[in-house]
Amino acid sequence: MNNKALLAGIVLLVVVLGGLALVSKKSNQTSSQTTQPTQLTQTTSIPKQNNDLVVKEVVITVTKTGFKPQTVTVKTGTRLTWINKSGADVSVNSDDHPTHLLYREFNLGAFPVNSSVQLVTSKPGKYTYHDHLNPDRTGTVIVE
Amino acid sequence: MNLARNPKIQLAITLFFIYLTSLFNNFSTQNLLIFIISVVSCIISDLVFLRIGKKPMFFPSAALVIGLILTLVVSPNLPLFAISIIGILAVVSKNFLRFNSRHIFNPAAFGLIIGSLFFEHTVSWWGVSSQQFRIQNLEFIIPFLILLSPGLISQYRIKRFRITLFFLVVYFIFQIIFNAKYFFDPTILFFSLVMLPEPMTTPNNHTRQIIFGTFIAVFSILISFPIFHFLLLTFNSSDPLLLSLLIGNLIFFKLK
Repeated sequence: MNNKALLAGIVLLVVVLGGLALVSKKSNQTSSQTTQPTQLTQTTSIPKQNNDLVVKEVVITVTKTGFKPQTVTVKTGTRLTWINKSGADVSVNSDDHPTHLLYREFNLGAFPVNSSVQLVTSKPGKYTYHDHLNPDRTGTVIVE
Repeated sequence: MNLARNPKIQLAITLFFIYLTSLFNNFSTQNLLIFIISVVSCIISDLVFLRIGKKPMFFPSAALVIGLILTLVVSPNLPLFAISIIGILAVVSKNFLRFNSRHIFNPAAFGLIIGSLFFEHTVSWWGVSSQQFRIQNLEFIIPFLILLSPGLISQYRIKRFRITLFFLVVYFIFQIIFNAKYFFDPTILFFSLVMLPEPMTTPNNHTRQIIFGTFIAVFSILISFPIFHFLLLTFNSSDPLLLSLLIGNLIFFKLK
């Protein structure tokens, strides 16, 4: 195998990735909505367009030992809120670590102590995530 | 050779300092024990294999580096016997899976991926996840700079900077397109500065170094998508970086 063949293989991989980028960009527009980190003292309002979706809120607390509860089962349209009580920054991100591409709507990013991030579930499925800054903290959301 | 001038010993020292910063942030008895178990299992098994192979004894600096990498990467939730088996698997790969007297696979990556066939959650990158780059706070900058320190050895002394450079550029381009959450991700920096440029398992040829680094970046992104995730599941693994590295090693082992 020479360098040209190797380069051709990489170009092919890049083309596949480019196709994935186009497809995923379209599907991402209809997936769940996330909000920026919110101070717990502030009142959080649900975006107006989600009013018909949100039927319930589930709170997941992040502690030093991990996500509590570690696994939640919810219906579509449920608002999930992660509250950081771990004593340090937390970053909720999709599996797999560290590429975070499996369930990209779960890439909520870093948020400081005593603040929260939110996500409204929109598609049924099993979603696994972790704390990017402490990847041993893992969690699962099952949407029915 | 003077031990202090040995690049592997220098790398081991920098890895030990990374471990200390992680331990400081995340102290637990388990995190102390995984260091002892990883390093001891790698060193002892390397010495045993040297003895069995009737090879001359020498200080096992490579096994020391493998043990320290495993310490920083392996999941602290694993039982200690599992960690020692992963260390032994890594050293087996270094000593027996060879071509032209050079090992084929990155030993630490091999131990972790094959270990994941037997144990769940073998890889967590716990020791190289918290060193986020935050310029506003000095206490975060020092661990971040310590995290970068192995790069001085791997890039200049063993001349593998093309691999790291092209991996990082391509990886971050795709991160911008798909994710754009972390530009100075400590896990990616550690992987690209320490594990990726391992000299025995990567090409010497400059063009092939560029191709190798690009391949690992593209492949690791590709298998992270749900559509190609079955490749990771085949190995019962959840680590796209390490699996890509092993596949890259396999493709390039004859193309040094």
